[in-house]
Amino acid sequence: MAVTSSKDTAISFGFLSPFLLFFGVFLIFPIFYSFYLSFFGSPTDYSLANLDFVGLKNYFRIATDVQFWWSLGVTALYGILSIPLGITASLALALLLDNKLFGKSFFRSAFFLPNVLDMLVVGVIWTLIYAPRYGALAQVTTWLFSEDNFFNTTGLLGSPMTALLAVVIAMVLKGAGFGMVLFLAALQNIPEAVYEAADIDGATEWQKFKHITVPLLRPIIFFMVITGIIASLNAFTEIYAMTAGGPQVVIAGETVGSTSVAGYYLFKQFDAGNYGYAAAISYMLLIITLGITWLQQWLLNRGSAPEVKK
Amino acid sequence: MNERKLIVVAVIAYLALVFVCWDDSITSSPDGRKILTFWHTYNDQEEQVLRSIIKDWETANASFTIRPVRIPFDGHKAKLRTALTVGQGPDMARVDWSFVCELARKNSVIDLETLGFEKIRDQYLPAPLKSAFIDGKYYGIPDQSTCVAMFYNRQMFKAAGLIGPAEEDQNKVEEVVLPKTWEEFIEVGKKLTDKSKDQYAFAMTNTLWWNLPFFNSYGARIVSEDGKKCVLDSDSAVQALEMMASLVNEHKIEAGAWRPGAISPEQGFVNGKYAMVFMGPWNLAKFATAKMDFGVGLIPGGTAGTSTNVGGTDVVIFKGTNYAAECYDFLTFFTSAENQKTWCTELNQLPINLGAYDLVSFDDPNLRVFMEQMKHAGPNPVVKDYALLEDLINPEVEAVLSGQKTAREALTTAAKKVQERLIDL
Amino acid sequence: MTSLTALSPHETHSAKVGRVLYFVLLVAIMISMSYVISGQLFKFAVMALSAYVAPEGATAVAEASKLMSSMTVVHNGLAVVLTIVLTIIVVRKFINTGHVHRMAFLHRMVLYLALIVGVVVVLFPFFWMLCTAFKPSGQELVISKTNPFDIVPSEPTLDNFRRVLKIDAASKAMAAVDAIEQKKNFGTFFLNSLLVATTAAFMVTFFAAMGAYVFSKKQLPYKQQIFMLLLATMMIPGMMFMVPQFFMVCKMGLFGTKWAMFLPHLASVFGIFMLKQFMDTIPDSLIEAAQIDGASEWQVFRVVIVPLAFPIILTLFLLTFLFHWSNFLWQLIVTNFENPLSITLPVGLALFRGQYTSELGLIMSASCFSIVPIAVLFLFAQRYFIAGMTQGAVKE
Repeated sequence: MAVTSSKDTAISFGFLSPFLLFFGVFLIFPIFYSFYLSFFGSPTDYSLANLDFVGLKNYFRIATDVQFWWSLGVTALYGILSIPLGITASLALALLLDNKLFGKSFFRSAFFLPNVLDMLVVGVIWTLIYAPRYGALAQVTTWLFSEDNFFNTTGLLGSPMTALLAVVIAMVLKGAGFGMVLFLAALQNIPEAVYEAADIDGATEWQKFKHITVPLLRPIIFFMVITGIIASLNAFTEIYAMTAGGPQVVIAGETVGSTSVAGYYLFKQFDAGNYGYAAAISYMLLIITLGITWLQQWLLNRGSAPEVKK
Repeated sequence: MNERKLIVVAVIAYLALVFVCWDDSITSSPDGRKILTFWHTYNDQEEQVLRSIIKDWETANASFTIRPVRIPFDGHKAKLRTALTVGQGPDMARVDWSFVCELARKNSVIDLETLGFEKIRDQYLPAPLKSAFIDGKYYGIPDQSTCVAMFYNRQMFKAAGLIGPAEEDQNKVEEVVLPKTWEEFIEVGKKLTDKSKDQYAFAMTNTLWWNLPFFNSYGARIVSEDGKKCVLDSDSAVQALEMMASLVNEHKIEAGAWRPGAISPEQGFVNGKYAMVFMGPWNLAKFATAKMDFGVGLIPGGTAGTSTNVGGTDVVIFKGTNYAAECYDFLTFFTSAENQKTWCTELNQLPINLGAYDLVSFDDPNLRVFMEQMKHAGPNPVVKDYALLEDLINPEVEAVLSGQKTAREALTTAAKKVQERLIDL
Repeated sequence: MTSLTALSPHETHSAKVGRVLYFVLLVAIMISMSYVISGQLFKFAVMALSAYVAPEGATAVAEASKLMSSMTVVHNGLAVVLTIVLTIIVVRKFINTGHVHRMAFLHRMVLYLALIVGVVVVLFPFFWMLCTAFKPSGQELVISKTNPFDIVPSEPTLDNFRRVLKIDAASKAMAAVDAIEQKKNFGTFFLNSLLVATTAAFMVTFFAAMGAYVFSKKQLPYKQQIFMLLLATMMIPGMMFMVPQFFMVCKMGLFGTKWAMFLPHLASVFGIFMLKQFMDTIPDSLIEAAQIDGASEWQVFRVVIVPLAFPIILTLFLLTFLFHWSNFLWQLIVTNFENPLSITLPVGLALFRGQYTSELGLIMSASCFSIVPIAVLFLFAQRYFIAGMTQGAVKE
């Protein structure tokens, strides 16, 4: 790497300045203010002037909040299900539609289009698709099997075992087109010559995919993973529209929602005006996520030679 | 070249847009009258009636003018909360009944007793009025009220032999066997349920507000009269919930509409799959346009007879106003018996003023059933945060419906949580 | 034809039969799909036409319904004709394909069928939305008894659209009340939102592209650390910032202005992240080549980076536009409702919605309208967006 010169730095700052200006004005204060709020109880009036300082009480409360830890587990499961599925679906679509295929721009547009739909509308429609007895899925399974099948009696969203998966499928299908566009654009940056060279070496399609395509797409995959984590942490509208946190399961006497993700739990706290507690939860989530990231980096670095991080 | 043209067109279009939207000041001619701002959430038809009532009031109060400002009902709480944060609230507003308690506890609305409310309080229907009674004081006046009653599908009743055969005598009123008690409800329900035809007698949603008719018909309350104790674990509440669960598990006459992702009672009812559902009067016109053959009856009675829930809105006066007395004068005028008569006859709504009950006569027999049902409404639980109350209770009830907990276990847990997180906090 | 194959005659024969059977199966699937899909689409067209032709009034629904049933032959016929034409084309293609290529042809057919199934699944919500928007109040949830998959209404009406556009009777009466009420119309909301969303989308993409360029290709002390810090701020849900940002907007005296609608959301870390990750896939050699040619920093950015990243920049533009186009909660709290000229579309649409009326038809027709500019933008951008602008030019 070249030595950083002050001129380069100045130019860099020049390019960054408009972003930094708005970030500094409109985000720095809210970030610190919400952190500050996490040490206060619920305000006694709307002016936010009469806050009572509670110290770390909000954080201690989180530690014993069963619902929160449960929702964190559900969030992790949501991420584990949705991120790989989302990446696979987008990559598969991108590879399929990168070829010379008649009507490929139609297909590309069609798959991207669901991204512009409102999450609530998507939620309503998928609820209708999954609905027992009347939903499209129930109709098909009844026709194929019998009246007494699971899709017709309980429905995917009605059972605690399948509800989360059903939400994930709906969200993956909605978002796959976005990942596809990113992958498609990145695929175009891979020079044809690299593949040609591999062809000369007699590489199979799978080898080319594994050793050329995937490494060159790594920045995009990284992006999809990070945004996937953020989407899982902030997941709210889809849960609100499809299951409202249910179906409930009773575990050791405690009733918990099988799709009650952390974002949904957080929203409820926020909506109830518990700004302090909501802020504490969001910073707790941040700390946990950063902790996991750091741990994973550390393990990776120990396991293999340090790799240039994109 | 083509691209350049496109860019030029886009830039011109954008500049035109800026030009069109730039002027965002609105000139309202100040005529020297003092302005009272009223944030409401009415629809077009309602706002027209409101404006005519405002005109009447203004003729009697020449130095004041009322400016009705419509805000969306979806989000009216968020709007008010944030506006009050920076002190930009209105003089008065119409809010959902469940919001009054929060406003009162956050010290932002005026105690109406200070304006002489006790003199006219008895005019209003007791159940809606109770929702504005917080910590021993009244903070809001009900302006619109609803409840649910039992809708039934007449065709399905006929098929099950529950409506007497058409008599030759045209004048004879047909006889409908409507269940008066929950026991009868179960009997009738068994006749109406036909699983092979995918047809169920009943469907319910599991949220507290929709479950209140069950609890109320057994005389069970959520929170004690003084608001200091959660009494959800009472025997009558357990009895009510056990009866609810038996509809699902023992008698199997409920369609499972309470499950997440299931078809709503409304949708099943319109499609002729559910014979009976609990619904509010707002669906009367809707079902009529859907060309449904339906009727409305009272909700079956438990140990405390028929009962229902109360929904609706209240009007409140904010502490930030300089003209509390005038606001109060307008709001009482707005909800007076005469104006309620105009309002309800024109909009087909249930009156909230007892005086208007004798003045209003509806042609629609179903609306008359609602008027009757309204008289038997139980009071709503008054807590600081109604949404949290729902969040604490609904999962426990669901656990009972899905057979994972007994009614007593669930309600004891729910009562404990409500006590800890909502009342003692 | 047979002379082309090098296989033994017997093997060829059994393989041939297998292929033909496979083909027949695929054609059968294709025919049923084509008939169902085109049948629904044609029926939709007929339905929209009938709803449009029927005069406004009490009998409109009945008349439209009558008109529609009289045209049943038309849409069924069209679907049949289309299916037959499609079948003939495919069969002829199959026959004209040499034997050795037939298997590849069949694989291709499977691929297309699978893609079409995928498209149907992802586009179904749009179709459902459109159909529901035409349903009269109360009938949105009615499911056809004869065919539950037939979601096109048989009693269409334009009432929902009229109500959204506020050209129905009740709204007209309301608008007659005073001058302020007249300003509360769909046009005002729409233009306001258009201005807010385009301005915001343009600024966000511009700032993010410049920022991403620095993080991807330029030198900056503690670059990685700063970037990680920015990523960390993304983890905090946006709603935590709502109240403090509202405070700031009010303190700046921007409450109720169009500036308040988008200014706090201009610094998009998501945008920087997305563009940076894409720019990472652009080979450095291209930039070096430009620098050797004597390009200035700005020229490198404008001539090399922006064209190459254009599809992604457009995607970001589209997504940002969408975000501001439907950012209900924030725009609600900064709207000054006493001034109808400051109301934007998502807020305006919520104003029409009543309290108890979960009228799906009305909500869906409103959604149709709010999707229009996005659809237009998308169709305009599609060419660049999908293909990239200067593919041939930079690929060596």
